[in-house]
Amino acid sequence: MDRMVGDDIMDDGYFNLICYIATSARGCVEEPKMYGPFRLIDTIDRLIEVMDKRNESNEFYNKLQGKIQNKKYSVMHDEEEFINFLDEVVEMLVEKKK
Amino acid sequence: MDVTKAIKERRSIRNFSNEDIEKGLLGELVEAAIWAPSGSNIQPWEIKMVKGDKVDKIKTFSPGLMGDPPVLAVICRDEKMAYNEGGEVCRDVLSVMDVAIAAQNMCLKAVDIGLGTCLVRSFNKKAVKSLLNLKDGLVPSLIITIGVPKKIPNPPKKRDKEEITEWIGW
Repeated sequence: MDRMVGDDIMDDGYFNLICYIATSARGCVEEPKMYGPFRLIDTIDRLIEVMDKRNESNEFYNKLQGKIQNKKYSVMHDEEEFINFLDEVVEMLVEKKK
Repeated sequence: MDVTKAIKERRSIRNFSNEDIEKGLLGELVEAAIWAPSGSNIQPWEIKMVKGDKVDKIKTFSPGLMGDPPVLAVICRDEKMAYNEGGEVCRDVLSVMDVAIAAQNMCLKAVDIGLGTCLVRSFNKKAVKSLLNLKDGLVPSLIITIGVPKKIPNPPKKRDKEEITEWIGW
């Protein structure tokens, strides 16, 4: 059975996230190349926000989100710092998966 | 406020408080915009000041729009007006410069009255045009997020003025 019908979907954080991803995909066609990685990492931040509102997050995700929120804007002023931060995020995920 | 101080203190704000902003203060920003220079003085711009649920809707289709600004200024270029009064160069080049200068005026005035702003170009033009029911020929060119800053970032690195300047004739 459908969990959501009609306009209810508009209040679902996932809908906004899907809009963000689709619009980002279109924007990345012509935007600077580093915007692609930025939009992807920002998507994780937004996804965790949705999960949090639905009580689906946990300590690990919240820690990951904190790290992303602290460093994601480095893309605006220091590309090297931003890339190192992406490496750190991946490392954090690998450690968790081990 | 001294102009140099405003220029140097302006930052791209991506973290706003949820304080409401008086319409009168926002009017001062629009006033600053209309005093911007414009190619052939055509002034091919329109500014849509947006608050409420439309802000959320526009934000949904604007990946570059960060934080929760209470107000947006959507700076539009009237391409039809620009072309009719100034030809192709006005439509394709000058009007783009015009709205950018007007937007900068607004951002500097915002600093003067204690508001924060961020210029946003990463938004879906078709979506914003549709959400605001913009007339034919009116193109949303820039969005300025406006609010009371919650966090003011450090100044970014700037290229040295000696690196970018050639003094000719000195």
